[in-house]
Amino acid sequence: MYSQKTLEIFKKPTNYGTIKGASGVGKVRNKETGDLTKIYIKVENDIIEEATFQTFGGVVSIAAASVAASLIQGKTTFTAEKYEERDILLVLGSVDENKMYGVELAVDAIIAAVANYRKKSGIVVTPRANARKLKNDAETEQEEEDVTIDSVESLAEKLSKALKKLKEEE
Amino acid sequence: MAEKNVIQKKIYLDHGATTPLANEVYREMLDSYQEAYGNASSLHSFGRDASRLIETARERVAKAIHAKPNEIYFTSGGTESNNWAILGIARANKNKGNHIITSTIEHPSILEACKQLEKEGFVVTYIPVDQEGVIDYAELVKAISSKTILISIMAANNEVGTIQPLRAIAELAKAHKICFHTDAVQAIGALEIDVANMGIGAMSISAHKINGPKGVGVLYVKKGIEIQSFMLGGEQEKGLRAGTYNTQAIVGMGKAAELAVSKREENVKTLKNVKRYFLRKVNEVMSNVILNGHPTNRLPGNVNLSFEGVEGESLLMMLDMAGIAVSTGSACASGSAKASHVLLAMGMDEDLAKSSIRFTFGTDITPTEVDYVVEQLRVSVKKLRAISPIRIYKVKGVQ
Repeated sequence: MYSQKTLEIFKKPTNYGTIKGASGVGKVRNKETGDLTKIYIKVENDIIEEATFQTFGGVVSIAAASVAASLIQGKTTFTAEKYEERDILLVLGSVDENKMYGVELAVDAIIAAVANYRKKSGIVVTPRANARKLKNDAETEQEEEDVTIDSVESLAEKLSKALKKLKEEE
Repeated sequence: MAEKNVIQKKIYLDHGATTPLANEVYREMLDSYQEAYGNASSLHSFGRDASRLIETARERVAKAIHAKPNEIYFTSGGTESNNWAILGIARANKNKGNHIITSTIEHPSILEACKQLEKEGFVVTYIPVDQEGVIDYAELVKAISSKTILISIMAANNEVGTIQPLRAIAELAKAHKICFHTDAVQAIGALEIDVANMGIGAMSISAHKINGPKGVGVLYVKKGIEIQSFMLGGEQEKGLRAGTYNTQAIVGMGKAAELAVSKREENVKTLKNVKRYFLRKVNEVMSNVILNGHPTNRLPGNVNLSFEGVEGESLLMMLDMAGIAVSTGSACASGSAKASHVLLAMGMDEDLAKSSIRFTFGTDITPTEVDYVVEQLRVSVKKLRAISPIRIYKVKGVQ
């Protein structure tokens, strides 16, 4: 189901986390599965000095994002956005067809991060021949700030209720 | 690939997917392989020997659910029983009406059969469930019409373990003279179900969920309920389910049903204790964990938890690397990587629904093993939360 390499990277991913004051952030989500990958880049003189990732998703999504973040480190933004799924597969080995969306997410996140960096710094690239089109939906940062979870009961509350009920039963 | 000098514990917490074969069941099956290899439909003594074993199994299953032996039909398992009940009862009663009622959290073998019926012109109402997975009884009452011929509601949910108010539903169906079918595949080892007393019209059971063999199940059909045959080309099971009897599996089914009943009380007590201990430990060392399903009215061995910010499949694999077997949602849907239809139907946020793990305990687990599981869980969740982009907010309770 998973290649040995995929499992190794999943178990010990590198470059995860956020970058404070990142030059660009790419956030993409696969609609079907809900998997979410974010790539943060810190760019200086068009070189990606630092790249990190965050993923809410399955084994392949996490491993692919980790590979993506380390691949683009030290590269120019033009090189970075040229990476494709097959470059990540070269590292991961084989990936099941039904888990390929994780690899696509990683590539999309790179492209979205570079686009975000250019937008933020006012760089206009014409024509943008390098990057392929996004296969997944890019999300903007603002949306995330609005997320709240208020309709769920905490485990502690449920548990105390359950324990009380069990005690009554005995 | 041999692992060098690594003693790794292996802990199976996926009894909702399937259970190990009980020794007693194994022994009876083994004996029957040697002693009763005849075709149970043959007239000679070899056939009669096999047939006798099948009838004993039938009696045992009947006794376990308070049915009559001639109301027990052997099938290839839970899926077949569910398919047959829905398709067979609906099609046979088409002259009386074309309306079927089920719930949104049924097993796919019910939901897909209903979709098939919709293509054939039947109308299906899917009753919603509340946040704890209990069906909306008022909606059920409202849904019933003069054209309703079948109500199918599961006894207990396979993913979140919530037990449904079977007796009330059965009475409602009875009052309207509607056949009530229940998928009791997960429930039979935990709940006493008296089909005669409760007025259940049809019920599905599977052997491998109650320490029996895989590939065999039962459909109970109350005498007088009309049902179309499911397999054609033989006189087996009164011509309703043709095909050479799988004698050994049926023997196993019978013994497993007998054991499930005789050990039920003891098993339920043990599992409740295990569950309580596990939840207490999880609550001690972890935060932002949500218990899915009903807090008390649930299957004793089932714990379904959402770990906020952590995707279920990743957590499953982390635990697997530590020798612990759990599942996301149910094994039947695990290839799909989508959020559980059951949790979504319960109104859960999609990310949280994707963050759920089902632990289904067996009675043989020790407190030390539970401690190990909780520790691995804590470490894995911490690791995955460090990678996750989902922000963890302090969870507010229900107002």
